[in-house]
Amino acid sequence: MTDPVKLTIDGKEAAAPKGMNLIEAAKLVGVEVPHYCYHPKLTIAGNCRMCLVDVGMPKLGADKKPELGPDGKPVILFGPKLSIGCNTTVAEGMVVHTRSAKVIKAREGVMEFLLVNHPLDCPICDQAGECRLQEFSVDYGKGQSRFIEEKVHKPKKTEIGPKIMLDDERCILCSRCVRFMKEVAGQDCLGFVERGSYSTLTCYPGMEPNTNYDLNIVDICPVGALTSNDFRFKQRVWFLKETKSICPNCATGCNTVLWSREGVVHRQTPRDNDAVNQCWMCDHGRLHYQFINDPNRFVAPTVKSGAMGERFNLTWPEATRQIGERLKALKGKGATIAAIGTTRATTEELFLFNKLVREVLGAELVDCVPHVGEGDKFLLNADRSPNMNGAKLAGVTADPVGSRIPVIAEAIKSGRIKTLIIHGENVAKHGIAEDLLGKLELLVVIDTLPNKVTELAHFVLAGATFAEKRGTFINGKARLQRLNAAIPSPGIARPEWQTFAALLNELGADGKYLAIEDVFADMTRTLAPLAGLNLSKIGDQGVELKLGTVTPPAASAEKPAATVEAKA
Amino acid sequence: MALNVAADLEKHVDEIVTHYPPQHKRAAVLWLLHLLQEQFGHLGKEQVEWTATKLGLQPINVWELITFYPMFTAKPRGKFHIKVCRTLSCELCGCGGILERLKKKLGVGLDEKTSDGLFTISTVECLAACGTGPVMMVNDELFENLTPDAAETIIDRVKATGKLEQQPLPKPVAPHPLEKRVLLANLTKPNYTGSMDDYVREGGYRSLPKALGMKPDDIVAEVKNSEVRGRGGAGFPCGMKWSFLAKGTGKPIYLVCNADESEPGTFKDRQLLHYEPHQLIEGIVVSCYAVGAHVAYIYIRGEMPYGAKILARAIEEARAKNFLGKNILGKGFDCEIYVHRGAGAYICGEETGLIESLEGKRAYPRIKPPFPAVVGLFGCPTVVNNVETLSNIPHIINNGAAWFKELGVPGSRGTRLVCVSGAVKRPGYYEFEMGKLTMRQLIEDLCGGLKEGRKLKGVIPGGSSMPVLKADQIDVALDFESLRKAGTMAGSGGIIVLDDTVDIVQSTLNVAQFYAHESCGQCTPCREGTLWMEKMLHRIRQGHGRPEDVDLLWDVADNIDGKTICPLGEAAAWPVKAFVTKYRSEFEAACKNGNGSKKH
Amino acid sequence: MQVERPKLTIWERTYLPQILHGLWLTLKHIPRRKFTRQYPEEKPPLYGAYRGAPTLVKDPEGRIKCVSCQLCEFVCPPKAIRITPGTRPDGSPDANVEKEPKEFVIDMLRCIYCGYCEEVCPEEAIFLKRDFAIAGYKREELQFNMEKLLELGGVQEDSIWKWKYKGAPPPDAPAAPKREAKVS
Repeated sequence: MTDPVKLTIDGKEAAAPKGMNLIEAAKLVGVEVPHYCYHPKLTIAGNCRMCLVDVGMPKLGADKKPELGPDGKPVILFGPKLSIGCNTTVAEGMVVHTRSAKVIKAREGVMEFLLVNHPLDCPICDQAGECRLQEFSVDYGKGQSRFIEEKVHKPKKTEIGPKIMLDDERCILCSRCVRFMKEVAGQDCLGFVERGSYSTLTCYPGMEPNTNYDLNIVDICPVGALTSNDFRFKQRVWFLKETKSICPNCATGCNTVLWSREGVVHRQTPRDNDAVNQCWMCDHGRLHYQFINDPNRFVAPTVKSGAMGERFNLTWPEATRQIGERLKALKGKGATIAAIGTTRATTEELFLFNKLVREVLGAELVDCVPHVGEGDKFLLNADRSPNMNGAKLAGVTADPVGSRIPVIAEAIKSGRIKTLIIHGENVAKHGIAEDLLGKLELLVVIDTLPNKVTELAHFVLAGATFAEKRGTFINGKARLQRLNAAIPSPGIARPEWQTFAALLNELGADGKYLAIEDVFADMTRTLAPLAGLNLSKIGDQGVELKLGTVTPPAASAEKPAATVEAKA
Repeated sequence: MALNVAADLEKHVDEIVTHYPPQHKRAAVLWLLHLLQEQFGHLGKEQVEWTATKLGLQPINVWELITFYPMFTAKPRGKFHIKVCRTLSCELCGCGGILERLKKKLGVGLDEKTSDGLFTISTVECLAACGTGPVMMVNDELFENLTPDAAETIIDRVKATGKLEQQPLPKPVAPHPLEKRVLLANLTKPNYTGSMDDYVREGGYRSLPKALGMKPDDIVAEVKNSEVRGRGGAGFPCGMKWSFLAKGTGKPIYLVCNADESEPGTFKDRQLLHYEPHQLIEGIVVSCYAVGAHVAYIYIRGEMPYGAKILARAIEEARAKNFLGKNILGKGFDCEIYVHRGAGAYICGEETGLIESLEGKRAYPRIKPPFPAVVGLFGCPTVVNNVETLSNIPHIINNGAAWFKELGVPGSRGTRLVCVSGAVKRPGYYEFEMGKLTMRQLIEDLCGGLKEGRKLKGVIPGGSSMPVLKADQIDVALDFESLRKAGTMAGSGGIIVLDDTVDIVQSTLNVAQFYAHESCGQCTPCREGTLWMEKMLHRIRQGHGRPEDVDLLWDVADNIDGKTICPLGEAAAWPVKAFVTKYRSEFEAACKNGNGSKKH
Repeated sequence: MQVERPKLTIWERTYLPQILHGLWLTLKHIPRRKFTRQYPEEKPPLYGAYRGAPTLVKDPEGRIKCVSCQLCEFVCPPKAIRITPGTRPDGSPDANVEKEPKEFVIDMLRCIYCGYCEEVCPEEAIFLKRDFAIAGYKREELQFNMEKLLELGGVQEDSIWKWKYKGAPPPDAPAAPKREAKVS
């Protein structure tokens, strides 16, 4: 690690790594330098001119050493013009003023210029409340515009692709989106046409953005020029609660923020994590949250009884008691029990699931359903399970994952397996047909949304989506990341770990799991890679684990089966 | 490629692509678009997609350029495109009358096609022929010294014959006794045509073998020693610029000649390009040898199509005599010069804007650092020099730095071409030793003073970007330092004389319109501020200015000054600031009665 | 401290003088000027800054001025306002405004008539009217939905025409009337 460079910003001493620009260096000492076009992950454009600061270097004498003034401190020479902070690298002895009169006037001037042709769209613009034009004009602007001419008019409300709406009048031509599409998303499709004040952002007709990363330009656009059609006119951002979470759609585990109001999730955005997703997120994951507030969500545990096979709602204690009764009767008959878990569950749930089905019930035919899709070379992983590593670590998978499912199907067919416990998977689509399921004596399904399997189940235990529970995922690169609960579950549905803990309690294997921290603490004692960790102290950036090769346990009477490759 | 491109055109395109490094085919796009527009008359979707496929680009990359450069059009224009210059010098000479007459005659408004599909009239910005204004171009032909009747006659003839006749180059003007012609020395020699034979006969290309016998570093030292300063506008010492080049990077070094003369009031490079192309080529080859470049590009503005042809012909003549190409004069030095045509953007005169345009992109100037001497054309060390600067190099090599230093005054050595336009009796170009003449001498002696009955109001000394001098400030010597001390700059040498019939507010509006039109739109202050100033001045001219608008104008200009990426910000701000400061009473009078109610 | 009871005379002990005194007091008031307001025929005078129920207005061309920016929802101290934003239909004459409220409910049982919503509205779309007899038989009646609010609000004159013209309104656009303090 090279020596940090020492410089002074607004009178504060700063030590910045070599090569850092002034905007980042100022952040280190708590000074904000407003900027629009600069983005730490994109090339430098330097065109907004908002980050102008006064930069001075020590005057060098003939011996190339700083000249000292009468007070013994180096004489600082300031340039005749201000410099942009994003393109100025730190240098030893540099002195930076970000609040001098010159800088303040420059900022007010630039702010006034930015607002000169900007439309009065704040009441209808989705960016209101998170708009940097609003924020910086309050902080650094004059407060009043002297412009009384007619503004330049450009196309408004243009769709560029089905996901994004472009409003050219609001665009401040910072070119962040152009640079992003070219450098990060890899599709050079956005550009500026016309010249001067009439410059307009556009894309060639027929060549709209169509990558899996388009919606990131909505994130980075500092104003409301690019807005997401999915979020258009849904809610004002100041009403939304932000909850940090992890995307559950693939093994990358992009760090996200869930924006919710009164129990409804309205959108997802990425958050920074240099080790996982920098500050980006793929559209596939970003748009896949509608299921959380699907009106068909299970709101209570149900039992199928009655002459016509009607379903009745139960309370949790009643459901636990009934299932517990049936399972207690199967003591010692572990060979007739099979279980299918999901790689979309949290590690805590998989841990308890494993404890329940393997240790307590003695089932051996336990497996998870793999989900594989096409990966792109950036963030979307071909492995679409957010917690495959967690499932493997908890011991609920076969090797290869999914290979035991045909075995289970065969065993049900032959009548060997009479009880099946399924968590979160529609196994009818993954190798166990509905007629086979109909042969079971006891089918317990823990899930969130109805499907063919839940219709056949004797007991359906209402579960929670990733937005409603606390827990962890271990991503494809062995990073343990924490989920937080954004909204409560509908009705009396509850996170699955509570269901499993209640069942364990009912079956006599009480682990005293009163809170999720207790489950995690138990995991750290049992699973070696997690030793010494604490759920509350993992932090928002996650922790990298050393997993090594995790060998899933083998079943005794296992026939080698073809790998089940279920398409996600 | 569904487009039916003529076979020889495609061959020409393929040849042009070889002028640029193979991994930078994009640089050929401006040439390509010129040629396609010549064949098809406009650049629509098919042309865009053909070009994109040909050069391995995305269609948006091509479309960006068509809307950026005014010479290109997406919609078909008339067969004959009439382009009337509307910038300051031509406006002072009366271009408005010509526009009105032509519009009335053809029955169309601006940028509309006549019903017979023959004509479209547009206004364009400075065509670099200010001394002979008003001027207009019809397709590639330049017509100077126009009157409304003359313009009408020209159009009638075109309509009658259906053809456009090639206009001959105007005859060079004989020097005034107070001039000292070095660069233009050959122009008035009998039967001088600027061809290779004539040039060599008058002693041309002598510096080439001499330079090739010297060491490159010695040539740089000689040029440094001569203290020659850039003649493009900034006045940066040429030798020092060359010495900034990054050596040993492993990347090729490029030399670019900035022939994109667009500063209003300036038309000196036009003379050097059209009449003495070989002087420039000789200067380029010697300079390439000095800096270690093997490829040079001459970026000539798109509105000088004949200049491009003349240069191309001269390059071939030089190649035939082994003054260019491989193993020049057997001394083992290779050098290629390519002509690159611009397409109508003043911002391409800024060195990094030029480099971006050469690379085939929108001419957005780059942020500095890094400077072109380190990261320039195609990411390689590049030096950009003006036509006049490079034309001085052969003379410095021939006669030595000491000779050069004897001409001119300390801080401004050598001779300089200036261009005078406005209400003087003899507008035109003049070459004299820097500092040996004052502005008063230039106007009163060389130009014969103002026209009958006119009095001097002010002089713009270096192209419209430079602050104006009032009538009582013209006893300043014409060299870099003296003009700087007077609060202005020598700039590009385009001197515009304002007489007492000139409405300063209107002139400021004309200049503001120029900069608003030419702003590239990259950075906020220039993009928004230039159009704001234009709209404000427009409103003031219409009589709706408020008293506070005078200070507001100055403040807006001050907010642009110094905050931009490239000097166009200063160029737009300084004239407004200078006019408002020095002629404040005119602005106040114009803003007395309005209340700002009418918006523009 | 001992309180002295007044000694009543025989005549006073019959309480007839007191009764007559009372009748006399009442009779004295008959010819005098009365201050009783004969409500509901006479309405009370409402002073200039009087704040009544909030209502939504339309402009003279029938456009709903509210664009569901939700500032009033945010600033409302008792959170009486609930808005669901919606989109203006594409073909309509005011499609350039883009946004309009899909649902707009003011719970009048929560509203405290502070007037913050009118103050904060950037579109001059919500105005507190001069009314006071807001009552209903059921709680549901006092949840004023958008239809009711628009009905109560009526039409408001406009002089700025923010969305209609690009630039300044033409000289012939109707001017706004002066807003004076009204008395009843």
